[in-house]
Amino acid sequence: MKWYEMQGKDKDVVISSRVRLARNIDGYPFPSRLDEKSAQEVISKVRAAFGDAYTYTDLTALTPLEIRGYVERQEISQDLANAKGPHGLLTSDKSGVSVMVCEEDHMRLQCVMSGLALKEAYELVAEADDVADSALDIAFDEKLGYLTHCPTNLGTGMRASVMMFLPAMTMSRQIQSLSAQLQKLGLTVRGMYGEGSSAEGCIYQISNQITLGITEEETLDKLSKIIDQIVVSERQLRESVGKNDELCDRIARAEGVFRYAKMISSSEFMKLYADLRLGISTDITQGISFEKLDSLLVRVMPANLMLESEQLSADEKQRDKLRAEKIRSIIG
Amino acid sequence: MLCQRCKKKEANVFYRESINGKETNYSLCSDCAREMEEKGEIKSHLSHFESSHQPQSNGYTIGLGDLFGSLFGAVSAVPGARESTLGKRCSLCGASYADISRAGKAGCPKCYSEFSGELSGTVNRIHGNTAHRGRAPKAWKEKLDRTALLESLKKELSEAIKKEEFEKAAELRDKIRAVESSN
Repeated sequence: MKWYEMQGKDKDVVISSRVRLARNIDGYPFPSRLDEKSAQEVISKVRAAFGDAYTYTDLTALTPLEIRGYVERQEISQDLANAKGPHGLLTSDKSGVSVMVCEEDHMRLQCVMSGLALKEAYELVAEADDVADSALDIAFDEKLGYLTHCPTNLGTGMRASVMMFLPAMTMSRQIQSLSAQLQKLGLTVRGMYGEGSSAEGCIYQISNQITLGITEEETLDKLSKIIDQIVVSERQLRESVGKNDELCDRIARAEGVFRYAKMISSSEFMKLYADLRLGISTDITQGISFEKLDSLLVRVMPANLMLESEQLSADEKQRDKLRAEKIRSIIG
Repeated sequence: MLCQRCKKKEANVFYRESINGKETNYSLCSDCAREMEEKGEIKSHLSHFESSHQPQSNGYTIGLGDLFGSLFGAVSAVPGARESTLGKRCSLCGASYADISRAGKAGCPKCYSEFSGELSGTVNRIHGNTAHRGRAPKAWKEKLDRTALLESLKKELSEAIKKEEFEKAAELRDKIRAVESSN
C-alpha cells in the first residue's frame, strides 16, 4: 500500500512525513564524477547489499512518461529523473524503505509515511541503513560524519521533512511570519502560494537544514516539537475562522465540481483540493476521507493519469477530461 | 504582474524558497512554473525532495551553486593556497579545488581529506564550527567507542597516580594496554 492510501496522525494538518539518509561507498567518486563502468560496479554493490528483499528498477530503461510517473508519486526526485549516468531505484514493500541509487550520492535511503510520523519513518530508514552498513564500506569521517557529495548533507546525512496543509494560516497571511521564524530555527520552508486564498493547495514543506553537530534524534525532536506547535495554531485559526456562509459555500461548490464537472485542469484541481480538504477537517464535508482526497494528489497528476488510464498520448484537453472522470471515480 | 521568465503571460504562481535565511522568490505563469519544475530549477511544493542545488546560468534561478560558490571562496582568495591548491588534484577522483568550488560539491569522499584545509572554512560556514554527533558505521562505532574508553581510562590513570594509588594505576595501565593491542 502506498503512503497516500494509509491513515496517519494529525492528517487534518499533516499530509505526509519523509526521512532520508545520504550514504556513499568509500573508494568511489560521487556519481557526478563516476564513469560508466564504476557506476555499474557501485550499483551492483548496492543491489547485493540489500539483497532479494528489494527489487531493483533500472530507470534508464523506462520511458520519459514512466519516469514522470515515479516523480509524481514521490518515489524518485527530479534529480534522479534527470541523472545522466546509470541509475536506478531499489524498493521493498515489506520494509517501506526505498533507495535511490546514483542520484547525487551513491545511496539515498528514504521512507515516506502518511501524516505526522517522523520517528517511525526514521526507525525504518535506520534499519535499512544497518543492512547497508553490514555489507558495504561506508564513507565516514570522525569529525565530518557521513561524507556526502554536497557539504550541506555532511554529518548525519539526514533530511527530515513534513508536508503540511495550512489553509487557515495562508488565508490569514501568517505564512510569511511563520517562515521567518522557522528560518531562525535552522529550518527550511518551501511552498507555492497563489493570489487566491487557496490557490496551489496551501501545501508547505518544512525540513531541517543543519546536519552536522546534531544527532538524528535531536533533529527529529526539534522538528516534531515545532510541527506540533504549527498543528495547534493552524487548528486554532481554523476554529476562529469558523463556519461562515462564504466558506461553507466555497467548500460545497468544490465538492459539486468534483462530483459533476466534465473537465478539470490541474490548477483548478489544486484549488478545489484545498477547499475540500479544509471542508473535511472542519466537518463541513461528509463522506470523503483524507486518504481518498490525498491519493488524488498523485493519481490525477498528468503522467499518472495517462499511465493509469492507458492513454499515453492524451493532450492537455483530454487529460482535463480524464482528470474529471478519475476524481469522480475515486470520490464516488 | 507579468511572469518574470517569459514576460508574456500573467504571473499566477508565486514561488518562495528559504534555505538558511537565503530567500528565493519567483513570480511565474503556470506554464513557466511547470517547465522550471520539470527541469529541476525550482522544486515542486508537492514533493518532499529538496532542490537540485545545481548552478543555473539562465538568469532566472539563483542557483545554489552560485551561493556555494561564494561560500567556497575563489581559489585565488585562499591565502597561501595559490601554488599548493591550484595544481593539486584529488588522488581518487582527480577533482581540483577549482572543480569543487565551481560545483559547490566534493568529487568523492577522499576530497574531504585531500582538501581538508580548503574545505574546513566552507563546512564551518554551512554548519558552524562543530563535529559530527549521531550514527556511525559499525566499523567506526567500535573505533569511536574504543577512543572514548581509552580517554576515560587514561584520565582515571592520571588521577590514580596523583593520589599515589599505585596498585590501581598498574591495573589501569594493563587495561589500557589491552584495549590498545585489541586494535
